[in-house]
Amino acid sequence: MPRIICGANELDDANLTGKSVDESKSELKDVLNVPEGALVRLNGEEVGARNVSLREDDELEFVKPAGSKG
Amino acid sequence: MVRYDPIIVVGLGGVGSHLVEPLARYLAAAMPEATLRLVDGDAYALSNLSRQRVSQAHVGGNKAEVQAALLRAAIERIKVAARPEYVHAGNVRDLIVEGACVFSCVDNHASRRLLSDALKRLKNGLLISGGNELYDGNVQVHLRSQGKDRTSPIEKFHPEIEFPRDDNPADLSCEELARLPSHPQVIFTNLAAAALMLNAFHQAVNGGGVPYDEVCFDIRTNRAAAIAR
Repeated sequence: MPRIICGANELDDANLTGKSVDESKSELKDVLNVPEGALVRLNGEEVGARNVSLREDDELEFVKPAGSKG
Repeated sequence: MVRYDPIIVVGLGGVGSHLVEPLARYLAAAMPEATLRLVDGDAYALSNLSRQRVSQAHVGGNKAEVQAALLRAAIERIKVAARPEYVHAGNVRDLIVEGACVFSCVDNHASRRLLSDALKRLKNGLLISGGNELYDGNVQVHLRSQGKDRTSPIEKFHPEIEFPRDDNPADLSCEELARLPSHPQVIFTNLAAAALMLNAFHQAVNGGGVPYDEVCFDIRTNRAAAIAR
């Protein structure tokens, strides 16, 4: 099943197979705390088209922006 | 063991003030020949006391000088030097020299980018950059050895660092610095960033390399994840 990563959090969700990157993002936005404008990487490559469908073994990462404070 | 010298901590606020003491204890025991350089142009304010490792007596003191004095008093064998200035284009090449390990504990992406550019010039060097928001944050690790990147530059997956929209405090007037908005932070988030930065340093020194580019953490879920890209 596709694995979705955002920052420290991740989940495996079989229901996302066949769904687009954008659909997956809106479903998981609150669960994984996905920030607006996050860089998107699918299987290690930056994704341009957000209508790409997720396959069984895909790994989708929403790259959390670097913390600004210190 | 890989030996870095100097060891430089830039920023002695929420993350840096907690990071320096365990770092200095480790250096005194494991790398007593290394010099620890503390760099910060800011002074401690009353509002820092709730989160940063200082007391009321230090309010008004330069952050680098205060922490250097605290370390000298607490740790017998530490070689520590303070540079009471912000990092800027005019001093960064003098600070970040061949063989350096840099802990970036600053609070703006403009300074992070400056430090990253300086590290990329080195044949051998290590940049460990930490940052946080209210409850989460991340640590990027850029390791260079023999003139090659062993992990990614810190801005590679972070356009907000590559194209910073904030200002380096060295470029601001006192009035502009005073007007900078302050954001709420949690001391435990600062501590998490500091601990993960030190873990990355330990791995780089003792593990022969760092098998990840970044560590993300979230104190609400108490999770930390190392990510190799």
